[in-house]
Amino acid sequence: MRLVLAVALVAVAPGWAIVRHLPLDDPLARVVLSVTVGVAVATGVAGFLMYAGWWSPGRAATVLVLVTLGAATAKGHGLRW
Amino acid sequence: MSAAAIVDSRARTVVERGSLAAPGLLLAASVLLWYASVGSIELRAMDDTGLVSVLPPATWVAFVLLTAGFCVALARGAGSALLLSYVVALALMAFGTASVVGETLRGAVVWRHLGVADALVRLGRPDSSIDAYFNWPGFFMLLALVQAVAGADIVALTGRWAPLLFNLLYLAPLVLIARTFTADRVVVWLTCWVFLVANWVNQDYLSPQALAFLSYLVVLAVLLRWFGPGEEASGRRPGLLLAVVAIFAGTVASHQLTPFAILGAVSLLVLARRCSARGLPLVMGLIVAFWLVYPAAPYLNGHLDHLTSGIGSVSSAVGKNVGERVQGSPGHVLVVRVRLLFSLVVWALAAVGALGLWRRRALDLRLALLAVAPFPLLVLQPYGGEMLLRVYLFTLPFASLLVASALASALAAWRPRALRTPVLVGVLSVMVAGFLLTRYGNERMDQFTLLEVATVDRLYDIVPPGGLLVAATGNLPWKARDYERYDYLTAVHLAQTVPPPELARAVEDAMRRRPASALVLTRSQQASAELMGTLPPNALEDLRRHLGGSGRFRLAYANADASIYVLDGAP
Repeated sequence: MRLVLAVALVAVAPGWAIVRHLPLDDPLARVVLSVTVGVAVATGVAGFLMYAGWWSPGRAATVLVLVTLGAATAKGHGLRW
Repeated sequence: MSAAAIVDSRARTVVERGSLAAPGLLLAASVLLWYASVGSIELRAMDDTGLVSVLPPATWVAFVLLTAGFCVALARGAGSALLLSYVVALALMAFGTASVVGETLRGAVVWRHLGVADALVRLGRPDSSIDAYFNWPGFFMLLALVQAVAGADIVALTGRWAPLLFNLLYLAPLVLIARTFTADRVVVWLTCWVFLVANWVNQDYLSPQALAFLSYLVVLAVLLRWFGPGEEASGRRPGLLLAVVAIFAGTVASHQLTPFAILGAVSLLVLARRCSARGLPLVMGLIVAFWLVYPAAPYLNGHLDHLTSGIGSVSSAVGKNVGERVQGSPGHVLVVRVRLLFSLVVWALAAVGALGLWRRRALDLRLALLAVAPFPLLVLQPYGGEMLLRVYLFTLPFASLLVASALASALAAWRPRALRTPVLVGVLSVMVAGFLLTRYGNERMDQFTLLEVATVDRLYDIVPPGGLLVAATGNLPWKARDYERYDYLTAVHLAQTVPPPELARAVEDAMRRRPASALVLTRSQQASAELMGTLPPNALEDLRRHLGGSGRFRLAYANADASIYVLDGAP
């Protein structure tokens, strides 16, 4: 369960929530970008909190959940930016 | 649809199902045979050629069956689902074998990486004065996050299966890249197969390089697919560009080398007017420059001479990447020579593939450029003698596509037709055999036993934080605990300045200078010294004699695989 939670939080959820706004017609590309963008976002959140001196596991997880929820609920599906 | 057409369609489906039953059965049989056979592997019986010296015949048969089934599936026009299943099975067998048979995490560096992540969790900030890892801490921050959310045991589990996990992840962008250049499904799936069996370089363990290589593939896949020369009008570009920049920024924070590989490849595409994201190299260059000037400045200030001394020196690059690697025991030298030969054959076949495409006027310039783009890295920095490995890794996705193209073209022209599949089975089986020898050639030293891990745990119990931990070589599962709280020393390091007869005494002197210290000797250290020839001849035996015969050391802990010595009189 912890493994599923970690993978979802770090490697899938934030990336999926963000990449869904890109009008990609290839499911494989969507999966690939969801994982790599998710990892980049998680790295960025952890890095920001550590360099800012605000690191705590709970804070990092909270920020990632907020990023995911924010991106998932944002309007503009298929946004052309 | 008429009744006759329906009957005809159903009959055709039955025939297709029948023709694909054999590859389906071969797939299941090969995986079952592999799983049943690897359990009997006796790692302690390995010689200096590594895992191949103890692979049971049934495991070899499993790999040949899998290869044969894959070739039959390709020949019979199997669907993507079956071909994907084959490629996944190959990844499982090729990269999962060591994970299945090993007692614990393999590779000393993986233990060190767990230690860096653990230090970040405890410290809560990247202390750039510790070492280079803390100047490029992105990957370790990610690991720290996973550790904080899921626990250290989950990180260790990920570490155990990382090679399989990363290679499965690499396949997705690789398929995207291959599909950009060809619509031929045979070439696409052959590319995946060739990539997996040619990926012997062992850079897919739990490491910044492994994750950065995924970013490398994804960034280039996106640019090739959506930022080609005629893609200016695409509405999805700004969002995708932002995604590319975010992925690249994460890579810059994580790894010293890969950003330069990405930057070089993207710059080459833009210069050749084969990428419409013309401002991207500038943005990427600014991100790299920012990282070097700010977060990584403490490390660069102390190591600038070392980092820049090798620039432009071809002889230094060749010496460190080739000459210094062809040494050690006869078995290890054989493995290294096969690695060099294997890599050269892959590049030569890629050149044949490129030539064939060019003669058919089907060579996409982007493919040729990306296959050669990493080579200038060779004269940039020897990278501790590993640059040739990394260059090979960065060229591999594109070289694999060219090799697959060469194989597909050669097969299409092969007469008689009936021999096409057997020939392909033969070629791919040879590649699989080459992979197993080259990939797992260092396995005698890369695998650790639970007894060795228990010994290292005991070492940290014996020596308090602030103490000095000494070993013959650095090949042991240490540095995973209290990473920044201990000092480390190896006899290999001392041997660079101390004559062999004085080495044991130098080790003792170094320990005496510290209030708390201990020396640990393990099976895997001995294996690494023998394989790589990193210590002078008989140095390890001399050290053991000194420890046992000088009367100034006490055996503090021992088991069948390892022992810990402290200075006599130490607590």
